[in-house]
Amino acid sequence: MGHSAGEEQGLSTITGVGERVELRAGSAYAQIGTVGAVLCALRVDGVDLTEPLAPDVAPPPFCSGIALAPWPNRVRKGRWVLDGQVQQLDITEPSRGGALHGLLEFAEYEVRERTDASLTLGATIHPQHGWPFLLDTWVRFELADDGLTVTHGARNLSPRRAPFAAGTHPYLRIGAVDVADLVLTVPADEYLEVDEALDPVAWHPVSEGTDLRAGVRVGELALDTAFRGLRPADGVTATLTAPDGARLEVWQDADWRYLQVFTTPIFPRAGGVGTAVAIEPMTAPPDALNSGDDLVWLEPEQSYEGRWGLRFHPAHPAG
Amino acid sequence: MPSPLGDIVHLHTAHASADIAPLAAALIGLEVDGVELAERTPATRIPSHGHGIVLAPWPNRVRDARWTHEGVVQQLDVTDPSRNTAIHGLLRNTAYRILERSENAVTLGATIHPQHGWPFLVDTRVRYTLADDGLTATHTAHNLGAVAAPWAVGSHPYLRVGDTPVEELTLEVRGGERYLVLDEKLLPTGEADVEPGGPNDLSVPRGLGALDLNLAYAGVATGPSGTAILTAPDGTRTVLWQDEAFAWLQVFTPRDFPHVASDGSETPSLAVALEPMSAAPDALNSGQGLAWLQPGNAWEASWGIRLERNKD
Repeated sequence: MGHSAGEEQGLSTITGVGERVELRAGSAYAQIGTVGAVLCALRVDGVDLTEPLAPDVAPPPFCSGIALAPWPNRVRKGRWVLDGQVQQLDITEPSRGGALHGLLEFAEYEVRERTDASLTLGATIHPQHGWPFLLDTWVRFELADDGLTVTHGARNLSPRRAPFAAGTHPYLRIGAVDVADLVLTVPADEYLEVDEALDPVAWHPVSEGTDLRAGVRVGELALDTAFRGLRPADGVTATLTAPDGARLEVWQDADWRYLQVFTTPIFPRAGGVGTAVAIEPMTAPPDALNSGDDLVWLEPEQSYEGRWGLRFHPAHPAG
Repeated sequence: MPSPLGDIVHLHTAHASADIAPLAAALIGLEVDGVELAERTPATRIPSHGHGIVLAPWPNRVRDARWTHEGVVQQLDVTDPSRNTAIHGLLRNTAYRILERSENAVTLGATIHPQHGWPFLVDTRVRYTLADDGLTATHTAHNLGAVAAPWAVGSHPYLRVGDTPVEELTLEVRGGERYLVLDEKLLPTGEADVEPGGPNDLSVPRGLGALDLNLAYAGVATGPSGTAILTAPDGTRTVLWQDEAFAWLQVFTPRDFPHVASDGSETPSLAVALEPMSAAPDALNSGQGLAWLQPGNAWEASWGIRLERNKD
C-alpha cells in the first residue's frame, strides 16, 4: 500500500487525531498524533513497520497505535473495588460491558518537548467515574535509524496512592509483505484463557494455536490473547519475520511482563480489508484493576517509567 | 497538591468575582457584592453533582447511549451505567486549554475528536465574562470536519442567593408552559402542558423547599429579562437569562448536594440546578433543538447569571 502519511500531502493543524507530529532520524520516519498519543506511521528506509493511519481517518481503526493508560485491555464490567468501595467506570465497550484501554483513548495530549527525532506528549488524568485519582502521564517517542523507543510514564498527583498500568496497541507489518505471510515468534510460556466477554478465566501453558515459541505464520493464527512467562533474549518479546528474512523485533522492559496478540482478517486499509496483527506490550494483564496482578501502586508524588520499542533488521543490510 | 480541577482561573471586577476550572470549563464559584450566586466547589475535588460543568456536544441523556446517523447506529460510551445512558456530552473529564485571559474574562477551548458513537471533529470554546452584576457564558462551536456535525450544549450550575438556605428561596421559570414527560430512566417520552397550579408549574414563584424536580421545560422565555429567578425572602434575586438558542431549561433539586458554608464546612443540602440547554434531553435521537453545523460553520450563543436587588 502507498504511503498515506502527510509529508507529501501537507497537514492541517488539527486532524481527527489532533496535531500530527513528524519525527526523522536518518532514513527513519515516524508520525504521531496528539490524540491518544497515537503512532500514525513508522518507517525505516521507506518500509512501513506499522499500519499507517491515513490523514483523513479517525478514530484509528481497531485502536491502531494508541497508548493505553492507566490500564491496558479490559476491566470486567467496568467495575473494581478500592478500599472496600465499588468503583464504576464508564462502559467504553458496551457490546461486552467493560471498560477498555484506559481513559486517554480520545484525550488530546499536550506537546511537552520536541526535537527532530523525539517527542514527549503529556496528558493529565482527572478524577472521574470509577477513578478517584489525579495522575500526570506522558509518552515519549525517540526515533533512531533502526526503529523507535517509547517511554510511558506517570506521576501520582493525588493525596492517596493510585494504581497505574500501561500498554500500547501497534499493528505491525514489514513493508508490502502480506501480514498473513509474516511469521510471528513470541517466547511466552503461558497464555490467558478468556470468557465470551474476553475477560480472564485462567492462565495455561501454551499449546497448539497459542504456542508461538517456534514461530507461526500470522495467517494461521486467530488470537485475541494475553501472554506471560516471557523469556526474551535481549529483551525481544516478539519477532515478525518476512519470507525474505527481514525481521521486526518488539522489545520491552523487564517489568513489562505481558504481551497481547490480536489478529484480525478484516483490518481496513485503502485497498480493502485484510489480515493485520496487533502486538501489544503491557505492564499488567487484562483486568489488573481487579486481580491486582502487576498493578503499579504509586504513592503521592511517586513516578513510574517503563519502555518498549521496535527494531528493524532488513534482509539485505546496506553496505 | 495540584487541584484535580486544573489551574483555577480567578476573575474579578470591582464588585464581583468568579472562579473557573479548566476541568469541564466548570464554574466553581460566583459572587456579586458579597452575595454568592452559585454553589462553591472547593479546589480539592471535582465538581459534585456535575456542578457548573459544560455539557457538550449534548446536555442530559442519550437513550441507551445509542443514536442513528444516516442509517448507521452510533454507540456512545455508557457514562451512566445505572440507566444505560450517555450523559452530559464528551468533555466532563477534559481539561480545557486557556486561550485568552484578562482580569474579568477567560476563554477556554477544547476540541472534540471523532470517537465512539460520535464521528465528528468540532472545536469548542467557552468564554466567561464577569461584570459588576454577574457573569455571561458564551459557547461557540466550529465544525472542523468534512461532514455536517450535530451540536447541542448546556451548562449545569447550581444557583443560590447568598447564605439564604435554598429551602427559603422561591423559584420562578418564565415561559416554559410545556415540559418533557420522562420515563423511569429519566428520558423523554413526549411533551405535555404544564398544569396550572400543578406540581410542575413554576410560572408563579414557588417555594423550593416543597419542590422535587428533575425536569426539562421547553420553550422557556429567552432574552435579557430572565428565564428563571431565585428570590430570597428580602427580595434579593439571582436571575438566569438565556439567549434564544437556549430554549430549554432543566430544573433539578437534589437534597444531598454538599453545600460549602463560608467557614468551609460542608453539609448535604437542598440545591437547585438551573441548566440552560440548547436542545432537549435525548436530542441526538429526537432531533429537538439539535443544531447541524456544516463543515467550516460556527455556532455561538450565551446565557448568564446576575444579581438583582429591590431599590430602596
